[in-house]
Amino acid sequence: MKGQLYTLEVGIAILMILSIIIFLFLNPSASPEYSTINYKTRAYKGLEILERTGDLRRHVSDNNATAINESLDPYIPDFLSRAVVIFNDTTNLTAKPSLSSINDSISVSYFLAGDFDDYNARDVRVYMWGY
Amino acid sequence: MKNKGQMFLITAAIIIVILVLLKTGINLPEILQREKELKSRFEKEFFSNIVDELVKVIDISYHQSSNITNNIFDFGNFTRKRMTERLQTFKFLYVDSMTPASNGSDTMNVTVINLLNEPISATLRLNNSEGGLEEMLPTYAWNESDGRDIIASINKSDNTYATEGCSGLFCITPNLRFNFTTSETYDNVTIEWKTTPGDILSDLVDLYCWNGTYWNYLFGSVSTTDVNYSGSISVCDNSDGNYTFKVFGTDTDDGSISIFVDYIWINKTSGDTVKSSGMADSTRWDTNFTITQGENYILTVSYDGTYEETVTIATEANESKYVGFFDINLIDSETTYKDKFQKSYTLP
Repeated sequence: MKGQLYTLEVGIAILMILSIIIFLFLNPSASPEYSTINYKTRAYKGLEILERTGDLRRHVSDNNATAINESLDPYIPDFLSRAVVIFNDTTNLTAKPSLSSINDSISVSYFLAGDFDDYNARDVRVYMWGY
Repeated sequence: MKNKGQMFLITAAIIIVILVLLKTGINLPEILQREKELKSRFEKEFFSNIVDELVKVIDISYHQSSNITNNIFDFGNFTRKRMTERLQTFKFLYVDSMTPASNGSDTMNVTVINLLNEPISATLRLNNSEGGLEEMLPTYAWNESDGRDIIASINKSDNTYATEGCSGLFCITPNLRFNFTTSETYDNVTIEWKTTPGDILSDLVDLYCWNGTYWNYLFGSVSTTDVNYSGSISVCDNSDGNYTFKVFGTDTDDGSISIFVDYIWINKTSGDTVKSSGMADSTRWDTNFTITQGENYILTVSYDGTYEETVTIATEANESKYVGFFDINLIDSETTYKDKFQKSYTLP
């Protein structure tokens, strides 16, 4: 009976070690999220695509940060809170979120020189938090 | 005996902890490296946005061409301010030129924008590159000792030369003078000259030019059989429409020396071509040059003796041309982006 108990314990120990080896070394290692840089890249890509379609310049020309924010839906994970703010040379032209109570936030900027025949330097900034 | 059984499980637990720590330790550098790469890639994309928009300022201002330079200056300042807020560095030097739609002689406006985060002493030099080097034959040549013409008729196939008055060892040729008459102002003149093949080793030849006050020693003491010398002789321009050279040869071996001057190569430049200005950081310097429409120019911008770049400017009669030269440095903790390029436009 004791011999069977030892065998069982050894078996469990071996099983534990094998399981952890398989989990750690044989499974392809899960790609880390590199969270913040990935979120920034996604937001930037979203802005870049909007710029290529012409939507970004149009919305910035209209000072429509809400439309830009909605257009970014496909590119930024849902669980992230975000806000889009348009800046000119001196100040923000649209509402800026209050980030004082938020521990960690990140932001991405996209610069625009204006639209056709209408020079206006703008910084479109996407703030993200809640990660 | 019961303790022995627990020991198996405790040992297994210890091994698992070690394995987990080992695995984490192995992955950590990889994770850090990967994260660094992602950051670097992200910054490069952000930098490309800045470069693209700087160029786009010209497109946006295209129909109000008088505003192009103002808008570039404004966008440069805007970008620098915004990048500084993000703890990034933006260094930008911009040079542009604008010519009106006209014929003949006119004014080309040139602006330098200094956003290099430091004051500079900038210099602009405009060279007319039309035709590049041109050949010029001597208009006159003579033996200075006796005043005789060496060759009455000078042309390219007839080398201008002299052997007179020199024979025996250590003989000295007469001073040979070659006169090039021109109504143009030249700079960076290059002269080609040579001694006769066959006269070897120790023949010595010196070249002087008349600078309006004295004979200016250019180069010499060359002892070889065939010398082609190229070098600036701008010092020889005494503004009298003439370039006068004196060639002095000494034979030191076989008693025979011949000196040939076939022609000179001249790089034509227009008159007042160099301008300098001290520039504080975040300032622009507006100046202008007189140009001839339809000709090509090379604008050289330099500062502080350490920087020199050239901008090629092609003008065209009845066409307004705009050329912008960008030198951009974008610096982040992970990435540095540098680019220099030129964009040329025909304005409406």
